[in-house]
Amino acid sequence: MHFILYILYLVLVLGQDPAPGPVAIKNVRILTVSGAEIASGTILLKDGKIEALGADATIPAGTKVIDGAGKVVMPGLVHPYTRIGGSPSGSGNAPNHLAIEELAPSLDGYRPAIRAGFTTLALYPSGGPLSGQAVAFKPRGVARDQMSILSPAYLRIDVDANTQSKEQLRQALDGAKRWKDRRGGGDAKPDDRTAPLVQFLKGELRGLVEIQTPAEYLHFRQVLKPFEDPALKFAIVGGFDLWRGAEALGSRKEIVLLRPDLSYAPDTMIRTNPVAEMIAAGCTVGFIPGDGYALLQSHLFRVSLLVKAGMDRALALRAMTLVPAEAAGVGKRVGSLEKGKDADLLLLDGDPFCGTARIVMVIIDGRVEFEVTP
Amino acid sequence: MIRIVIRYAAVLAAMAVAGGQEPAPQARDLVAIRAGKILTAAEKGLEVIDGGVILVRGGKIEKIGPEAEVPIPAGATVVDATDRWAMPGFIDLHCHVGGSMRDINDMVHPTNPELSTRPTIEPDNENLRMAVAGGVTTVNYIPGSGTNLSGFGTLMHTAGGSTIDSLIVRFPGSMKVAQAWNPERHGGDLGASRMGMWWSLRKLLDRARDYNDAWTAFEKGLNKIRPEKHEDLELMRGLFQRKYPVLIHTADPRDVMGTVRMFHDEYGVPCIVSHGEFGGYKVAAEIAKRDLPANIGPRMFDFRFPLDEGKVLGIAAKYFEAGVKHLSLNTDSPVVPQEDLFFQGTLAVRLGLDPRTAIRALTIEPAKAILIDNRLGSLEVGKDADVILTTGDPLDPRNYVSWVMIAGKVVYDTAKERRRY
Repeated sequence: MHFILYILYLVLVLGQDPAPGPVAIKNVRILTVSGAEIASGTILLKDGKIEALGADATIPAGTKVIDGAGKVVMPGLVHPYTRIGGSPSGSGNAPNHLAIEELAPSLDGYRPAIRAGFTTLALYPSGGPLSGQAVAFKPRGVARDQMSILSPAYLRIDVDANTQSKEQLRQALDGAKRWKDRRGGGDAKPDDRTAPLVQFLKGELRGLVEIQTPAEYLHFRQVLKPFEDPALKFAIVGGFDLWRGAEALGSRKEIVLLRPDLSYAPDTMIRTNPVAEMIAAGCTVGFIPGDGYALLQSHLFRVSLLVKAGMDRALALRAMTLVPAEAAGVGKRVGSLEKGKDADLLLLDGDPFCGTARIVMVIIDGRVEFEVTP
Repeated sequence: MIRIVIRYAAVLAAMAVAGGQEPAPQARDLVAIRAGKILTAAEKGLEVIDGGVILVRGGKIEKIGPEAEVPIPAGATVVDATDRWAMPGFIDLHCHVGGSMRDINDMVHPTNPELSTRPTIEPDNENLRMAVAGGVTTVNYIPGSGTNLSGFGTLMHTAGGSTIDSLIVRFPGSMKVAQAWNPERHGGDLGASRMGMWWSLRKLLDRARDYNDAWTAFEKGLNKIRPEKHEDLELMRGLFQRKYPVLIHTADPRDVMGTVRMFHDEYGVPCIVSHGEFGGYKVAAEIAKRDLPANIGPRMFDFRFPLDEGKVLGIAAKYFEAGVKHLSLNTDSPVVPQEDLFFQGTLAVRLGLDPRTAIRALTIEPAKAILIDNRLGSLEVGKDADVILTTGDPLDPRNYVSWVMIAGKVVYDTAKERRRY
């Protein structure tokens, strides 16, 4: 009995990091993303949350104060589609698989992501067409339950434009629809491969659909047609060629997550701006960095080039933060600087789009996870 | 009849008025650029001029200096850019955008000194149009790295002419050599590994040196017997005469060192160490010792291994810190789009290089490296008028290039056409 209590003590007390004391950053330019920019103000963090922010927020006694003069605060970046920490092999067609089972606490591989400003990530299960359910997490903590903030975060679907892939998807959705439409029937429950799809069709579980080409998009929409429901929610992770179908995607106001890159039209050296095409067509665009170190590190730079190429600043900020947070189902907790939201933020020594600004501090849940040594 | 006379008189009167307004002959063709700030990239005189004037005549810079010292002659065409920064057009020594990408790798032999990019140039192609909008006025359009020696590059303007010849600044721009990190994959039967590559390059350089010596002796009358003509070695003579350099695609300490040893130490030809990535900075001190130019890119960072929390190293800064004074940056476009040459500077600064060195690395240093600094690379009296105007610090992507002049000709003006970038 003592032994069990001791274990409980270890798990409950030692397992938790000590709560960070309140921290305030003052005299700082605050890019809230969801609201107006604050040219110079204070942001107060307490118990891992944003306690207050504004031009004249008061700082209580006993608060650690950071002078942010000349600096900029913005929400931590969100990477909604990562395999960092996941095992290399895919799990095939397994909608019941939970990516949280793969989470790798204390992984060194998260450090580059943190340094690059990513404070929330979502690990997706690999495989397809229905590969399982993702987990949204913070790249800190020593146990998976400390890291995880939402599981399942979304149902991950990978559509290919071929009969087998479409048929697997169609059958799975068919089975789920029968459960969804079922009236009465007592205690019977769908099996665990069908249950997430029932949730998906009811809009209780978001989808994230990887779609490389316009053809895959049209095939996916065709498969989905009999199951459409206003409640159903999904975002699309788009391939580099998807912009060619921008008109079709835009007409349905799709949410599309793209690499923040200008690219070349296939077989040519003619530069294209897929992000601009999607936005012009009516889509909401969010950014995914990719998992390579160089890609993570250069995320802000790449977005600044899109801003140079004409992207609206406010949209660009949202696309790095709130849009991917919402796509991962955690938009209520992270992705913008608002009272009550998680204290996940970046301190930069300049405007995020000036090209030479460095992230000098990364705070996750009110705790400094990375700081450039002066 | 009377009507006709009246009309005629009106025309005469109009001509008289126009004649009265005609600029004085010495002011004709004179353009005066009034800029809020001028970054001259000059090595003598002012490097930064707040509120300056550049006088351009006949495609050359006639005068440059602070507004108080350079009065604008009456009748000069004035470009009012007091809310802009002026600087020399950017120069990229390592890129492939002069024509279509399909034309840059003719793998005829392991070494191809008979080839050049010159006939493949497509004036006014989409990439050159974008290059102009990124402030890039001169490029060394070189062949790819499919073979050890893929041919000769062409130093060319990005706009200002509709024919190949009208764009050429100098031909050849440089010879292109690829020392490993690509040609070893497909060099034909010879030069499939470093042993073969080194051998076939040396063999060729030996022949070319002997060929140049023989012809030079003949031309000076020291040898009466006319040497045999070898078309494939003709262009290589220019290397030994130090008319143009060899630009070597090379990376990693071993191959960078091999490059330095072969081209500088053994053959004594002018050379540019290009790329220099994958840890190449570790022998940067050797490059500095020989005062050779390094042309860094397209990647501006190396990762430190073993994975040290994903810390990144700025390569340009590493070369500079090791004492390499002649530093230029490249895009290897289309690897990095040509118009983003400025951003290579931005990244270099972000990763530790000082902004002044970054600006020089886009302007005067590449001009010096390719031996054209007598004409290009800085805003100085007598040099070609390749001038760009930006809305502010050119390294800040929130600014843009609003106006470009190449050899005295305005080739891009966002006041008159849609902004391309």
